[in-house]
Amino acid sequence: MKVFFGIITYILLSFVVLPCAHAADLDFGAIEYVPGAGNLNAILDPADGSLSCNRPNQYTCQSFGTPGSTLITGTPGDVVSIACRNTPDIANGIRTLKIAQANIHIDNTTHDCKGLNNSVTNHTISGVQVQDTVYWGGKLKVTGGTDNLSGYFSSTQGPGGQSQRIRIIFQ
Amino acid sequence: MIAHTKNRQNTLRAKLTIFTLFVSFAMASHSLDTEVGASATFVKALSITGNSDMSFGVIQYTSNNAANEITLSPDGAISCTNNSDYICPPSGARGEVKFSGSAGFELEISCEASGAISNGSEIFQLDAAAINIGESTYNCLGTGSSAAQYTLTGDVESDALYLGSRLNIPETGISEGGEYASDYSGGDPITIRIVYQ
Repeated sequence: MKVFFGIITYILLSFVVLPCAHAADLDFGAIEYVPGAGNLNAILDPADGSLSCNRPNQYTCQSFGTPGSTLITGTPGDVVSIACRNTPDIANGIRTLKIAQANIHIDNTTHDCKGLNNSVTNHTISGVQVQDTVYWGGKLKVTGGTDNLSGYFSSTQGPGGQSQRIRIIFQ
Repeated sequence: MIAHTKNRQNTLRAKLTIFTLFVSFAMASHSLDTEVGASATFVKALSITGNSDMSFGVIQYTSNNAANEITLSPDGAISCTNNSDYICPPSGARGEVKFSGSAGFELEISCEASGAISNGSEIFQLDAAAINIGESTYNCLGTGSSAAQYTLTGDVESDALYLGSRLNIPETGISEGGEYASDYSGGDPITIRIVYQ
């Protein structure tokens, strides 16, 4: 009987543990600004990492940033639902900047995040890394002038930083 | 014997209950959250807040002057290799560039090693250009090769570089005299490139 329960427990655990590996953080890269510049919208496309900024005379963005990415691992054929926070923040310890509309890209489609309780798409696990990776991007907004804007902003830089959270719901 | 059997039944019932709960848990849908960070780096655009040209000053020469190498170092001192045909001033004006950007960020500085000055018809070559920044001197290697790295301090006086060079008078000497500058036809200023690393 003990052996029986041991085997059953082992089998159940193998199904219950479905890891979701974190691959890379999102990075808008270095953005140069002219002191006194107006509001900035820097949009990072999760599909290809391309970065576009308004006000080209006041802000200089790189052509590409790095989309955030998360690899979903599980049993091929299993279907998962994906939900994500729609407004993560980055901070430099003094100022906080909003990523106003986070979005994710998987299965060749981009979806706007709607909060952790609202699934935005379903995905069938393929077992192929590139197909099972969720990429995320969004619109970084600078409002309220360029005071204290210089420096490194990150979601882990407190106070004010808040990472993107992606919820994978196994059905 | 009866009590022993009852105990075994209770144990089995308990195990089955745990098993049932476990199966129920495994069958139910479950979710997994993962956090992915985000970052951006903002830097103030570099701007030139002031600059001044190099000047070798007034160099006197004899009518039978020959070759000379007149070196203006980035600290402003002047030295000549031919002091018999020429009287060189002890110091000149070093070139100066003041710049401003985001304090704490590192810059890469490159500069042309050569240039030229002219009076409109006679041209003299400049070479061996060097810059002084942060109290160290670096040889210029062309705008495609980094000569120095420098971390911006945010202090308007400290965030500056100074330029020196060598003026080459050929064996034929100076024939015309007058003012020679990189602005005149045939002249070629020394370009300095400053970018964030």
